[in-house]
Amino acid sequence: MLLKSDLKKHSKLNCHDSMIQTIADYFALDVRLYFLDAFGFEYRRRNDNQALESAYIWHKSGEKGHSLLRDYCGLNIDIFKRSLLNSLIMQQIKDSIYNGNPVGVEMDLQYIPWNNLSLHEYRTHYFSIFGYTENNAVCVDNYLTGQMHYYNIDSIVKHANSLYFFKNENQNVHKASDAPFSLILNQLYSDPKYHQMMQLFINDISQTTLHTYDKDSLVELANDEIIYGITNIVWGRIHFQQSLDMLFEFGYRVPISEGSVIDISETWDKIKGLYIKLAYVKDKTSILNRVLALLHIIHEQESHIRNILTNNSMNLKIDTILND
Amino acid sequence: MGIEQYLISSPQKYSEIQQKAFEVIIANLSEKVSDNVSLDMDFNSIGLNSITFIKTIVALECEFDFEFDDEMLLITKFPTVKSMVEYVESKTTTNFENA
Repeated sequence: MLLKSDLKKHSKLNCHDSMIQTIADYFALDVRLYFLDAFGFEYRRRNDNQALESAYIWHKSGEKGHSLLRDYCGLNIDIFKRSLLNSLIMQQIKDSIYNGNPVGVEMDLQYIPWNNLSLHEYRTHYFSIFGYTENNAVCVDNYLTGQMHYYNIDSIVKHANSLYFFKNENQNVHKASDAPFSLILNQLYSDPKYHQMMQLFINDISQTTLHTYDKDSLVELANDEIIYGITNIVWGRIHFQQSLDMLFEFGYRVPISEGSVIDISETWDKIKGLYIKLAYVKDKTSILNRVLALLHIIHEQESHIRNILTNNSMNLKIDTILND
Repeated sequence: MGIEQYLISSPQKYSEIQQKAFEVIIANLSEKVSDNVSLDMDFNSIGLNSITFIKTIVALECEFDFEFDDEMLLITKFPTVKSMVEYVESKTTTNFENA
């Protein structure tokens, strides 16, 4: 049973990971292994001609990590995409919840009644269902509100992009501390193009921001992919630090000074603040120069940590954990 | 509860700068919450997100003619409305002394 006291706003997670963490908390599962890949960095232009307007940054945690969640954290997820949502799905949601297994919902923000963001459409959001009445689902959204909300089940089925059926399979899986070393390394080093992407990102910020970034609408800002992306990077770094702490607990030696990744997340947060400030101030050049200076510092600091992890990768495994 | 009502329940006096800073912050909140804000509330609970937080900062900078240190552009640096009001006053006083 989910108690009201269990609800909490996961303000340091994106909505997808907030849903995962909510379910993990409910089943009392440790999912920190899932966030070992959160030191990633991706930057893509969807269209070269549009440059920053369509830039995209993301940390690596997402659906790719679901097999890891199943095999080493005990959280099994069966995803039903839109095309599979038929008339039987409503009963399936109720059956799942009746059996103590919450259901996750992927849905566009525009259909979410408790959406308190200035952004009201065209962004995927996630929340979970923990119960139901005759016509309504009892939904928990620890990303937006940290509260329960009632939402008509028919409407959920109508508007959902996909449904996540969760199961606690903690009894059938390996412990996270038994995760093979190769799996941990694979999670840690999943973005070999980091330098290339970071340089491209810094270059694009310096070349195009002054020309394209002239927004004064909150909705436009909330839609800004760069701000959204940097927010994800901040979350990712915080959770990567927690995952590093987990490696320490497992007996790995990670030669990274305590809190250094948190410092990096704060610098990313500062960059985000300055970047938003660009939209509101007249003297954009001064702010932009500070953004660029911080980006160069971040690039250096993150490269340093990546080098440590790479150079020490063969020495990380120690003591009680055997080679896989 | 606005600053006037807050004053009733608090023996502490608030300076003109603090009151003005409070007004600027309130003016940048949504109408839904602006009538129910007190100095000891945190910014998340009064609906300030990262964008409206920075917008509020820029409004305070324009009103008081100083610039927030870059280190203070993090919402976590201001646990309560009061802490931001006090920061504005400290910066404004510093500016005045340096003038």
